[in-house]
Amino acid sequence: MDGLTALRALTVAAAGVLLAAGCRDHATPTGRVFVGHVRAGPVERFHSPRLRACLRRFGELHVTGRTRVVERVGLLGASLTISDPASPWLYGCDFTPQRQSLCGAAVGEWRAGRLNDPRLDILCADAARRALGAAWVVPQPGARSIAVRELGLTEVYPIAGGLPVRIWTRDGVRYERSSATFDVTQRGADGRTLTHERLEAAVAG
Amino acid sequence: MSLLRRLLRPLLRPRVVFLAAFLVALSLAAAKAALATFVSANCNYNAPTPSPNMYRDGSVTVALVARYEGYHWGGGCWNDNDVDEGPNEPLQTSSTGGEGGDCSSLTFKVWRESLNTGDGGHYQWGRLRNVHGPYAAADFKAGVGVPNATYSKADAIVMDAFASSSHIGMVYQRSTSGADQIVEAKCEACGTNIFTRTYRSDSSYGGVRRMGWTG
Repeated sequence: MDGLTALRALTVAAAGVLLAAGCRDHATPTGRVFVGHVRAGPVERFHSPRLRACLRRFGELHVTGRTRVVERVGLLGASLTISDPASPWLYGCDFTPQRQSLCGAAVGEWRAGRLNDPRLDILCADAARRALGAAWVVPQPGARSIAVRELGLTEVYPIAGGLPVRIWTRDGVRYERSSATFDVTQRGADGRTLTHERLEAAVAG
Repeated sequence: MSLLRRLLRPLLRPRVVFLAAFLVALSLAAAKAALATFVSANCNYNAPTPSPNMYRDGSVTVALVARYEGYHWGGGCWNDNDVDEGPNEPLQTSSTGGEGGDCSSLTFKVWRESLNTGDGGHYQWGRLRNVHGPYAAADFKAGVGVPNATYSKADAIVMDAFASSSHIGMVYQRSTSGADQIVEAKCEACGTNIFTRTYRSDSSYGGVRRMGWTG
């Protein structure tokens, strides 16, 4: 191979690498698409073992008639997000989908539509004992769903209840670093991409 | 062409070339240093050292190393020169890589815990080992993880902790006045230090004990 041929080969290889890198960054779902189940409403409409487990975990959480709950059941995990307008705290309880027992939890500061931090929790694990990461994402105005891309799987979280959306990753968890990366796309009512980001979250505070 | 060569000749002298290369290298090193964070420049990811024993007095000493070394949200790496080398960072931002721990990573390292939540053994983490651990303050408060248990606040002694859903601090000195001396990584502005606190009587705080002390 002469120098010019080698240079051409290197250029073609570099272009291939760049294209591959570009493909990983666009927001199109890949592989299987799973749409999670969501239910939102005042706390008195929920009578699940999960809610009882969550309220036991957060003894300081005083439930009132204005307390709102969003329950999500997805492929990687299930969650409860609980908020009361009288409190600046947002409470989250994480569950593996098959079980009703709590495996992780989070508390964030939720004021005027702003959350202080994604409040990553990495204490849950799947059936193969691989660590799972759960974190909150605040929906953009006009967003109807949030898609989180994993290897060969995109999980879609419908937006409901006016609260941050608790999302999950398995591939993005870096357990040793107590952190996780989520590939997040927010979509509008017409399916149009509003934002696409790699959310970096760390266990903190 | 020969005129150009003649004009460039002084610039191609070895001494001039060396000086130019040196200046370029110096400016690149300065640019790299400016971009480096405390963590990227100083910290490591070495394995912890298992230790058979763990004494409360020894853990006080470990906690005091972190004193004056600053606070970093989601952080877990500090040296021992009593200077915060990552001051005035954006609040509640872990990516800036500054010096210091936050409340839960300070507790994790001082309590010599394992990343494996099912392991109650003792693991000595170097001060420059960047580790936060899997627990946030709310997890400690609930006694999550084999090494941790909820405990009566009235009976809490040196190196037990008081935790709320958003903060944890360890008892440095118990006081009879109702306020304890607490060693804690409190916030970006207040850093890591010993503070007088009334967590013991604050209903939002619970008692937490690291199990398995040797003495």
